[in-house]
Amino acid sequence: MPAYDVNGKVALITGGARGIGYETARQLHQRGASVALLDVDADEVREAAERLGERAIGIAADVTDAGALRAAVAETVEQFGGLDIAMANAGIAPPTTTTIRMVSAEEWERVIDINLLGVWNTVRAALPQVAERKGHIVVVSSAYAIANGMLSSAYAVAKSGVEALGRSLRTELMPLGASAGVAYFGWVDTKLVRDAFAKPGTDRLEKNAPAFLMKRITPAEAGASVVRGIEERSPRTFAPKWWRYISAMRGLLNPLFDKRADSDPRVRDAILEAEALSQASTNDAPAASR
Amino acid sequence: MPAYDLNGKVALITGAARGIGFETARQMHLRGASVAVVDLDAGEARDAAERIGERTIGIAADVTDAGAMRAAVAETVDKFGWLDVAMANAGLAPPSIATMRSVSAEEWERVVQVNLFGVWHTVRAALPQISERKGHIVVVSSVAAFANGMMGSSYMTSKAAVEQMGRALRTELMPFGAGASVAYFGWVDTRMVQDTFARPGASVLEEIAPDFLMKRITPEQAGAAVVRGIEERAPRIFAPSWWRYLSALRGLLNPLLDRRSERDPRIVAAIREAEARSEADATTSATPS
Repeated sequence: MPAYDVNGKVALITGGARGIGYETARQLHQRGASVALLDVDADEVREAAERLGERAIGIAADVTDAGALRAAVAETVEQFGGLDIAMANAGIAPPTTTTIRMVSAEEWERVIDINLLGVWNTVRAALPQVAERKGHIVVVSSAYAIANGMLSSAYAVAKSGVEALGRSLRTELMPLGASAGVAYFGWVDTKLVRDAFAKPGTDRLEKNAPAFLMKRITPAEAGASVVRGIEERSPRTFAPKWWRYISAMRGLLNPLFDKRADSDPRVRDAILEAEALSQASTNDAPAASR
Repeated sequence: MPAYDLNGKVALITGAARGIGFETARQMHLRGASVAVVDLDAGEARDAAERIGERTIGIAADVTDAGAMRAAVAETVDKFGWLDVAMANAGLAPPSIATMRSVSAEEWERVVQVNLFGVWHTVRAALPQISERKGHIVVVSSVAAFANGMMGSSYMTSKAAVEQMGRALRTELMPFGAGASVAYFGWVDTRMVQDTFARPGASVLEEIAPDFLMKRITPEQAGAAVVRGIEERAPRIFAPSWWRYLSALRGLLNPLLDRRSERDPRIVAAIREAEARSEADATTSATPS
């Protein structure tokens, strides 16, 4: 039997209508948990919950709205009698692949609002129940907490913040008999990742990075790693698994990688191209309004 | 001659009325730079600028206000002609030592607003000038970026985020001949640190950490490290310098240290105490009404 049996538990998952969130919910449900799926679109999230069957509800909630999350937790508790597990999973990719200099401030800040403050709002709403019931919280970080965030800085900044938040949370929960884990994903074949690669400027990444780094795993594999992590109350889960070793070596590797990036002509071209693209779209915008 | 000579350059520093910001401003000025001293309080910013001497300006601006930061850059350019170096240094320690469960949401979010969004607004306001003039930006992170942030999570979260911003920024600036550094400070004897250790619950830090970790350096030493880092266009600046080695080993050490913290009875007791204190505060503040 696992250290923490999810059978009979109640789990709440943000960004639960699709991708890794949905897959984690499906697998927790299969193991006997009741699940509350949260997502921004009411129809999508209800459909997703219906696909899972009984012991599942879909709740429309925006993670940037702390009140909406408290209401979603209250609804979950009302429906299932408590809340044991929360997964702060909702996140967006930066809408444009570009530099800190050229990105629109609104766009950059929105990524932080959802990916970092959205996790904070979710954690805060779930904490009273999870702490009382000695449950578990998963915060979804990313390999981008470790990698250089050039051209996607908002994402890397937010995910690195989430990692620090999750580590602290775990230490603070352990004395209460509850726990938390940080989930790190590399490339998973989700809508978020497919959309990201469809954006101009991102295709370079695929050409330049080693093939093993770019290989995508399925959302089912990512979900399975999270479920295993919950059952083991793991401090960290990595999918693909080998990110664990890169994470362990990051303090030594990152200065070397960053130094190489400083003088890599492909990185230079990608940055210049991204800036030119942003410049062109800035010039287009006023033209369109004329 | 250093790789990047500060003589004749124009620098803007946030949180510069005191502490590390002031010391960095003073030492850049000694090397011939003109400096804009930015801080929240107009009087304090002006006093600090006057103490440094000529070729200085004191500007009142709140780093959480993007417009105010753009205005501060505009005022600096107006006064000195341009801007070469920016140091996003203004920061806030968490007002209380508390867990995520017990801290007030407002307090937690305010630390992130100042320490993360404040750096972002400073960087954004300074970037057009810096990239054009092939200058340099320093973002102030902390060794907290890779320490466990229990009972101070807003600080660790924002400083970890700032580290990632600085790394990306450097890579993105290099093609333009400009640069960026991430500065990591351990305990520096500033008012922020003195205030932190005066707070209820802070004594546990001194109990559990080895002495060498707790030894404070002076703001002068921290400022000197930053100035050297700018002159060398260093990607990372550590003060005390041995934090460099802990940073290099962080991926290996952190899982072990985190695991130890989970079982350390002193940490467990400190967390329980922090939660009880917040609970007591909440009860007290509810009583008068």
